[in-house]
Amino acid sequence: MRRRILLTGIRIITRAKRRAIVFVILFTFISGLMLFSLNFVWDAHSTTLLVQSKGIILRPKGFTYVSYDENLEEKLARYDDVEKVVAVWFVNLSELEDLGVNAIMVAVNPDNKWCYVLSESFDLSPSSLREGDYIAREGEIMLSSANVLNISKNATVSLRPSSILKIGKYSFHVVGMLSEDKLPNGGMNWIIAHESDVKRICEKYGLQKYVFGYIVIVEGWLFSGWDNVERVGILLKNEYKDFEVIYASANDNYRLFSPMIVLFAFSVFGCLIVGALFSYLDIRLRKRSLAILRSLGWSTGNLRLLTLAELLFVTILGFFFGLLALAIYRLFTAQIYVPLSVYTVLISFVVIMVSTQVPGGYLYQRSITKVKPVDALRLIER
Amino acid sequence: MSEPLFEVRDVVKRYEKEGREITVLDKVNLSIGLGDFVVIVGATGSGKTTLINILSGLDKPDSGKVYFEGEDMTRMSEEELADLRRENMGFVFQHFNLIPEFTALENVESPLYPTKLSDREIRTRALKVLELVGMTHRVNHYPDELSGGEKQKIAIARALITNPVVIFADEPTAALDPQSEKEVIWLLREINRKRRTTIILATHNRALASSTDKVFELKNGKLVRVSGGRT
Repeated sequence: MRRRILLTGIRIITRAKRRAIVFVILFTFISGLMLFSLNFVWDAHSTTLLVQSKGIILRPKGFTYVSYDENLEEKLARYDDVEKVVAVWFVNLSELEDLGVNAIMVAVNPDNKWCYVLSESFDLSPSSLREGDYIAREGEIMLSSANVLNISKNATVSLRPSSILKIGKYSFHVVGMLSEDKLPNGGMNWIIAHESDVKRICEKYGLQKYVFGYIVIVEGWLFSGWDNVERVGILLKNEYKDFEVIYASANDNYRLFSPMIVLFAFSVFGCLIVGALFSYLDIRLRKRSLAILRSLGWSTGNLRLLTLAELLFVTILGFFFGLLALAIYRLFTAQIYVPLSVYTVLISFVVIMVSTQVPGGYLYQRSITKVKPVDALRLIER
Repeated sequence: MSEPLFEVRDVVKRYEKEGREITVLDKVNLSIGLGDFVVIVGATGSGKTTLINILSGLDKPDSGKVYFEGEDMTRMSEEELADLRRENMGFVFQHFNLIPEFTALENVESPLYPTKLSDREIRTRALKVLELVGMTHRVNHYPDELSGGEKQKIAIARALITNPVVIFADEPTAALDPQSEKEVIWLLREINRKRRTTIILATHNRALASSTDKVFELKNGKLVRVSGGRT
């Protein structure tokens, strides 16, 4: 019975074409705004901004890199208040001429991709991706956007996403290109590969491992973890005197964060208003139909379900179009690549549903119980 | 004598109009049996619709009692009255009152949507009553694509789908041409004759009543027997 009433509601709104189109457009716009703002606040925080909020970078003093010390990584991870330690380590493929590739191969773990930010000009996080995808599994690599790789002293090869690069007996699939200005300059060729692949090449050819630095993420909530950051930072400064300790926190990001919060608040407010407007117009324009159904024996609960089904349908449709709009926007115009997480989509969906259905439901509840068939039938006669 | 379907006792209904109180129904008494064809005649504004609304539970009297199959309708809640209407009553209105967003078929099915009947059962019943009123060729048309007579036939089919014991027809022919008027009245009489459905017809046109009907006249708030019944 409920299913039938819900389907009837959907049928009614799809037939009220003009009203449906107007409200789907409104909900698309609002959903798009909400997804956009939450995507930035939430997902960007899990990438670059997270490191800048809770990160400490340990860099060798006076040198750009030193030999990689696995023990140091383990020691850092054992400190209280330390959530995660990620070493940015690499091998220099040109050390072995037999490989025929003149490039630095940096190891990243796709699970930790949000951590790979050492500085503004050394950013291996998804934020610096300009084309293609981030590495998701072994056998995948990313290159600098110059996309020309020296394969020997006198030979180069041009690579694009979907190209295959052979290093010794290993084949790699190019999946993405990183922005050149996010990598240290100096005429280097950069290959960013899965940690397991780099380890395998290291072991196979006996290459030396080097480290650009360690990224230490401390425990604590975003924007409130500063005490922890400072405590751990001081500890590291005292313990590792050969290293430079840099607090990654950058207040600049608050400037981006605030408008996004305002945008989010605006979209919630928009949902409340549009949801209420839809319900108000629905009851006003369809008072007669509701009264006829009431006179035919529909209960107020049945009518409430019918009208809520209409609102639910328009909202869900708007949400999916909003999602689509954001995807299109990201595809053609976005300057910063921030992947949309499932959590963002789910949370946006829940917030939109609650903020439209609650005022809508309240209005329906109030008005439908007031629809007296006899009054409405009298209205028709006039 | 078997228990009457409706028993109306001393029903009074007043309205306020331009600061003056008007008594539309003044101590109305009426008894209607199962299978009766009742015609309530009266001029426009005489209170026919008010009486029908009170009999169907759409409106409540200021005083007096209305019994349906021995149950006091004036003491029922809105939801109980809604159930009672859905299970026992059908309505045919002057302005058809079809839902514009529904097709003819969906309009006919609509009283059964909030029931536990299966979709298939509802569809079968709807097609059956549409066949009875001769409207199977218009099932997928929307109300605004139908003529007045066709709309009223759809409304009759909708009234019939619940197998009601009583159909209230409030000025069902007032908006129709003479040919459609004839067809609609004939249809109501056929339903009354074949199904023993009680028909309560409110009209300003006395000519619609036949010699076998129970005819009452509403005048100055009083219900007066004209023929075939008792008040």
